[in-house]
Amino acid sequence: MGSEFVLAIMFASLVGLLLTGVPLAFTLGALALLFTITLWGEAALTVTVLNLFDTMHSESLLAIPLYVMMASVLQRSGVIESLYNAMELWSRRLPGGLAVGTIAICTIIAAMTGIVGAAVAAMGLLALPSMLKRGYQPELAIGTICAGGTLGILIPPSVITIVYAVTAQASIGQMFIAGVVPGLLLASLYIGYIVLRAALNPSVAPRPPEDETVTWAMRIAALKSLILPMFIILGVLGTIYNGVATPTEAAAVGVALAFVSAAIERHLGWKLIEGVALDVVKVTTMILWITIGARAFVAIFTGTGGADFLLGFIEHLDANRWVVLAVMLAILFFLGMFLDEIGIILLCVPVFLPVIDFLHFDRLWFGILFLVSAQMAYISPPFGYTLFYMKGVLPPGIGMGTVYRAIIPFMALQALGILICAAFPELVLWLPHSMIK
Amino acid sequence: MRHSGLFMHAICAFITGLNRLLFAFAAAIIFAVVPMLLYEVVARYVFDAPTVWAMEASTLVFGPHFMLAGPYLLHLRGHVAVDILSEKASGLPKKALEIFSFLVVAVFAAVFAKVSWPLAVNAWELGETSFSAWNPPIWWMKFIVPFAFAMLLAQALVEIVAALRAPSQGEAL
Repeated sequence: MGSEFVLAIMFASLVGLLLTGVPLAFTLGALALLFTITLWGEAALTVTVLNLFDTMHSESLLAIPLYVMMASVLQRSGVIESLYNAMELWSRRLPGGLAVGTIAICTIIAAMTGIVGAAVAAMGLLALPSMLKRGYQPELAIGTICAGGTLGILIPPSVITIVYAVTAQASIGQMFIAGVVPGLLLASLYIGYIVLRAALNPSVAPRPPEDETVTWAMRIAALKSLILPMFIILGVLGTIYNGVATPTEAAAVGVALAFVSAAIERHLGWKLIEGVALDVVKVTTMILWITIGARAFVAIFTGTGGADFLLGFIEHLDANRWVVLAVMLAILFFLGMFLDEIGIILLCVPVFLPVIDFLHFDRLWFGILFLVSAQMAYISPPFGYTLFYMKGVLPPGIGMGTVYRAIIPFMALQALGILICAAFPELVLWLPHSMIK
Repeated sequence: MRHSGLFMHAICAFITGLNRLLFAFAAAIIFAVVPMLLYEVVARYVFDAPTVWAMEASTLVFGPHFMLAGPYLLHLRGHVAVDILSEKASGLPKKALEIFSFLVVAVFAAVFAKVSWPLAVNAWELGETSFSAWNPPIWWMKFIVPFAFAMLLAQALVEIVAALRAPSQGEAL
């Protein structure tokens, strides 16, 4: 049996099983077992189990429950709520002020926590009702929150980045630093778009009447709410960049700081701990079981010579390397429409990286392009994760159709972000190269 | 007949309850990682005296954390799945899809439990340790794997029984 034949069957059965509703983790795992046994016999499964032991020991992946814990504590303790209230006082007079402020808050949340759900859920509950009450067009409000929430993927610390770096055997610290500039670039693109939209057509984001009760003293006082988040950001990113702690240890520092903030906000109690424990165990277990399945699946792919086949195919194709890159990103986008992002990373990175090396592209730079395309996957209809978080907080009268329309301009902005990062690699590489010698 | 139904029900409730307990245990132990790693950072950075055990002990908590929580997450429907078809289906086809999906999980879990068991026994016979500077025994962790997969198999079977017994939506209405 030729390897291309095996590969075709593997991916066809992957898609088929997924469509019947078997969870991703077990689809990958079951297929891996099936193919390992038929191709190499049952003894080869020992290697699969050894891989699993390896995953259980991973210091890098241990960062996942910690970053989830931090996000959950911050979300449940009112820290994010105080931030939002402060922003509302400051940005209300800007064109599209509430939406601009929401992006700013999302950026801060992204720098504090590593998961996308935290920002979307919190902003969906806080920012969405207040924007709608102010008469904002629902599409603008919803799109802003969805897009802002995904900033957590690029802006460090980020769980998705950790999974990517572990899979690509890249340095997590370097990936984190490389994500900063592109992350801020995307945030500015969003803000630029919102301001422009609101300035051209004020009816999509009506400005509030002059409110005499909002004084400068109140605004200054509200800045207090920035203090705790700044400590957390400095505590986590500072310890990583100064080499004081590994990303995993820094996550523990972040969790401790988040608990301190919760105590200061007087939200630390049994109820908070219980909720946090549940969030952590659910998210971590889901991610790690997918990891188990995907590792086993990818082992077959490489074992049957799938990677060599793909490389040979591309060599044969003799296409321009930028075309190949574009095709790879298109594949990622396509997979993102129906596959989980962690699954995509674990499946595609081991397959794509040899191609990237072959084409003499920079691995770090490609990693960032990968992560920006992951952001698109997170908000792409019909199965983007963010859309489901959003669905949970939509007020009555607004359907998923509105959400789908809402994210289109923001996906276009993300595509623009990919183009900018692809055209100007220095944007991505400058910061990591100047910080790590 | 009725008697055996009750017996079956009791077994299912017992398995789900046990997995729920493991889930709660898994959720609780991960908190231990935070003080351990904090201690490590402070010991290394402030007192220049890194520990040999903190990071390794943390990873020893991490494996059992996600392995033991897996079976009950199946009960919670917490493993992500693509639900385009199952969301649209109803009645018998929906039930069939559900049962098929749990069957796949059951087979996967059974094979993995069987394959990982001899490795765990082997580790126990050797009294395997981690060969790090701290060198703790780690053979016990290898037993977590077959145990978690066996519990996953049990939970998948429970879900199949539950699906078979539940009146499907089409029939009930």
